[in-house]
Amino acid sequence: MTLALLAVPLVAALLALAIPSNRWRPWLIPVAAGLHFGMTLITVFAGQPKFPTAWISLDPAGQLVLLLISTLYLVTSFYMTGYLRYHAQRQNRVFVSCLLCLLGTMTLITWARHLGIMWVAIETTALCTGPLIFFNKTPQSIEATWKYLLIGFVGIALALLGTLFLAYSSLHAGLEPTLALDELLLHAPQLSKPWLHSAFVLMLVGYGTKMGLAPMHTWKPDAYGAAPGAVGTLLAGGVTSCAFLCILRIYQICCASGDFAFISPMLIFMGLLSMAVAGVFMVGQQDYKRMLAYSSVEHMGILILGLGLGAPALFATLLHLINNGLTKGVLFLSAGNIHRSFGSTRSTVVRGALHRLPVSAGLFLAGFLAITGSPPFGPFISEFSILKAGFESGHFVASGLFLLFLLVIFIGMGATVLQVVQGQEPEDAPRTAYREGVLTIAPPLLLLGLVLVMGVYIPEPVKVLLQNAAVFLEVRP
Amino acid sequence: MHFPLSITLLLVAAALHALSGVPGLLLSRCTAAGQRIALALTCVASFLGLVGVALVFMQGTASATLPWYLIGSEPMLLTADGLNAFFLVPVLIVGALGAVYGLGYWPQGAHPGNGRGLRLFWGLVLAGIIILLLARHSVLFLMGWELMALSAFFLVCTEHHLPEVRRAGWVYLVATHTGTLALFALLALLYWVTGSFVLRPLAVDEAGLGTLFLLFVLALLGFGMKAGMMPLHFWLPAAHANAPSHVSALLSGVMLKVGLYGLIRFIGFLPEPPVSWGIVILVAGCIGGVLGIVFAIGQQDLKRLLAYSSVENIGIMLIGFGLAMIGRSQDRPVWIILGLAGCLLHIWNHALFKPLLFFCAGSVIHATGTRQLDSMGGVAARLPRTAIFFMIGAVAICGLPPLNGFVSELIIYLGLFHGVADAKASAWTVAALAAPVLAVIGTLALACFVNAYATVFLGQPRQPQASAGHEAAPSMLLAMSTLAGGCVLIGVLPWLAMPMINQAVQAWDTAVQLRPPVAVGTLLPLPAFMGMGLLLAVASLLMVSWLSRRIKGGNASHRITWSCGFSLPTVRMQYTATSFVQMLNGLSQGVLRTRMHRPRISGLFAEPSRFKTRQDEPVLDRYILPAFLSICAFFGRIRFLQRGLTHQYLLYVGVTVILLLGWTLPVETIFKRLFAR
Repeated sequence: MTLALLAVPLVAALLALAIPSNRWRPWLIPVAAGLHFGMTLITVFAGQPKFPTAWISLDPAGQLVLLLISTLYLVTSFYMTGYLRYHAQRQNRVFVSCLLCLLGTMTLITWARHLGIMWVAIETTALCTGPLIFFNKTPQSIEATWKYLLIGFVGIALALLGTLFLAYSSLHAGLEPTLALDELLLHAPQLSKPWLHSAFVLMLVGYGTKMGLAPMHTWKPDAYGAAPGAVGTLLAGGVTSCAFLCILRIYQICCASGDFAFISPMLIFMGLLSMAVAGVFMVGQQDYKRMLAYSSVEHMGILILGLGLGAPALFATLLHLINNGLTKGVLFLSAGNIHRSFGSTRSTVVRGALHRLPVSAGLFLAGFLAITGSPPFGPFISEFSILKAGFESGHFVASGLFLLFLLVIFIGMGATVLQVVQGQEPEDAPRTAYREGVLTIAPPLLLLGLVLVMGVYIPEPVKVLLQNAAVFLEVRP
Repeated sequence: MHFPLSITLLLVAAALHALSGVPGLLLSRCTAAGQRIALALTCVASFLGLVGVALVFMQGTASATLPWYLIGSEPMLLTADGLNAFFLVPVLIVGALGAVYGLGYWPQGAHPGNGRGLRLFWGLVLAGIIILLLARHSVLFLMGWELMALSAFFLVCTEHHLPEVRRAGWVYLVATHTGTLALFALLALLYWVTGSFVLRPLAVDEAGLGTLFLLFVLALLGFGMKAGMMPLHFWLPAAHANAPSHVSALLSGVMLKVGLYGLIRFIGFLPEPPVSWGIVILVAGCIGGVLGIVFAIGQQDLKRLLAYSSVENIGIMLIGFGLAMIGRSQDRPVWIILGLAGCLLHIWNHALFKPLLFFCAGSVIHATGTRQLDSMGGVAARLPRTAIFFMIGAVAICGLPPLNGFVSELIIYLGLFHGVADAKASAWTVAALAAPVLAVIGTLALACFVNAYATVFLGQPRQPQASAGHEAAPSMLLAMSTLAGGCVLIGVLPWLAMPMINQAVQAWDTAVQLRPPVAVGTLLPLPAFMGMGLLLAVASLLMVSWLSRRIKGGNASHRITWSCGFSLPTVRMQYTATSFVQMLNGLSQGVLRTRMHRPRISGLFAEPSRFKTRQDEPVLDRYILPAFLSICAFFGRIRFLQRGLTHQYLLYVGVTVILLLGWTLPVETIFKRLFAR
């Protein structure tokens, strides 16, 4: 099953290269995504052997991320077919193939229990996503791809250095150097502290670049602004979650070595910094897709802040990972529809979307309310729980700043969203051939339904999964 | 699991309210069937809810737990006691009457684009309020709260194609979200204190004074924002003025009170409050009351005037509540009872006469097509019934006998007099100062509403388009007459409300101080109320009949009202609302600061010129908006950090690595070693 889970996307990617029809090729994505999702469900919920080898196995945290990615990918894949049908004249061979490869490499990240394999997989996602961002072939998308690759690779290089430091820290302590997670966790208390701390910093910055933490987030607005909406979903909900998983690994090692008190302030600082930067750049932001990029920076900050708050916030942080991924899907997909209909992402041009695209604009508005933590949507539960954990763990100042930044971000985001959604369409607003159709409406609607479910009643299996993952991560030296 | 009937009924009411707008969504936007279904569902829901409330009043407190675990291990706890049942009554009544009014005021046929959305969110607001009133679990409370707050945003933005509506909605949204985040902090802090999501009174030594103070401030911020407590009222005038009138009635009559409920309930949870808290609330009430009515007098927009008058009435309620808080700190049961009873009865009363006035305003605006007082006039001739209802509402809101506003204000006066008489209590001076303030508020309110009534209903139409128009539809009149009947009923027979007030006061979390329970009625000369009320009613009826006979007698001559001695002036020469209150406005220019556009007139034959005055919202336009703009400008200045320069971006990565690596250095040990050498 493990092998199949990894192989299906990769085989499909090869098939995509082979299929000649530009029109039928995109349907390969939902097929592969459906197979992948089915197998994921079986693996995660049906008690399949989860630890086949020491290097490749699925622990509870990996299960959680895998489930998120697979769900998001499946829902997005239908949207993608609608999107590619609209752009039927464009050659999509490389695009489809890279998209499928991306699924394979993301899956590999969730399975990897070896830091080297994990690193390789993350590196490959960067390679796969480059052509995806470049799909529109506009000057902006070339610039965005260039920045994404350059900054991304610098980050990945730092992560590699961190990985090597980690290996060296075990060597320094007189142990057999290893990158296998199980062994590192086992010997964590003996690891050499300075090397471990440096490794943590390098990996936090390295994978944080991939995740889009401030101030390494600078590629994000360009990349998310230029990429098609569906790709934005996979970047903001999928790839960032995978990078977060990588940070969870090093977090777990540091906790196991008894260094939580050391890394906690650093994580809280980085988390709050990301929220602050997102807030500053979101106020007055006139490009609604770039605004979504900053929202992603903000939520990565919340996740890192949650990690920094420690055990009381772990459950909530993991819940927020899921909620953020799903809600970002709603936002990016509906924003993609609005973009396609108006042909612009400027809120000075796009107005009165509720009038022209009632469903997409309604979804965009609902997604905005959801992501800013309004009940009854999922992120409310997770953000409120993180705040509660902040008070519980005695971080009053950090909790106060958390609330302040949430307010600033709400104001910044709300101004842009309402400008786009409400009001009257300007007379001279551009109008393209795009009309709302099932393939581009149903996926975000479905995701919003999931976000609502997560906010009203967390399904029991998911709750168990979250609890397992929280317990699994909560290692004490 | 045991579910008491009262809670079941209330939950069914919430569900029916929430669903009332859904059938309409499935129907065509051109048919009126959806509106009728929604109305029927709303009425049934409110009826069931009222039965549930009656059961609570008859059988006492009821609790139930929903088998619903969202976070934490506690199930969702619901409790219906005297206090929240008391607040549920206006919610259910105004909710249903507003839907009845909407049938004539906002018919689906005339508003195909937004009628369905309006009804959906109308039901959701009511459902949210019912849930939050019943909730005794933080998460459930917040869910109900946000459901209410966000649905109200959509109601305010019903006509979002108009720029000023969008602006009003946006200010409301930011304000309500700020309040919600304060509530997040409040409830998270309560969780930290009690270790549970269940909302319950804190024990005496459960939290330190600092924590209690923080809880108090957060409650004031979060709930005060919703209640429209001065100076957190800044969102209120624009939102109430720009929403459809029955929505304004719901916001003002019901939603503001929910903020007060939160304040009363949550501050009731905090044990042994210092006397300064009560004084803060009382003083805030005094300031809000006086300034609210002063601003109301200065308005030129009928609905903004009514909105500021809500701020004033909230101030009166806060005076009562502040007195109760002082009584609690100083252990004076009579103050608690009279203060809280006056506050609560005024909540009911305001929920009767303010929606009544907004409904009247709605039909006037519907008929004349304008909200500007200075364009109206002579409406009474064409809308005689509306005029009578507005008169009833205005008399009630000014606190004149024999209507209901008088009763509740008198109870607060009595409480304050008890405070003044009890010179042993250290806070008696505050009470002594508050009583005259209340009198000033009453006087100014009278001036305000005489002005409003006279300008709108008497005289001649000041603009040609205001002379068209017709009496309100029967459904609108039905809603108005029901509310007017309520005003008369409570005014003439106040003891009908006393058992409910008793239960609500007893349910406030001051159990120790109110043992043995004292009935409110024993502290009040209720028969005297009734006697006086009836006497006044009979006297005024006699006077009206005498006057009308005299007028019909033929001696009266027909002239344009207030024509200042001219025999054939134009209608433009009538006294306008602005001129009527010019002296009062002049006295209050210190806070009002009306913007005047006064062109200089020169020469013997001057060019035609226009004189204009504009009244801004003092807090919003003078403090909050400039502050926001300067923050935005500051953010704009630091945006140079991200200008698209990739090498700069790489530098950031490098700097971060170096700084964080610096963080890992054991600085202390290095220093120690350096200095040890």
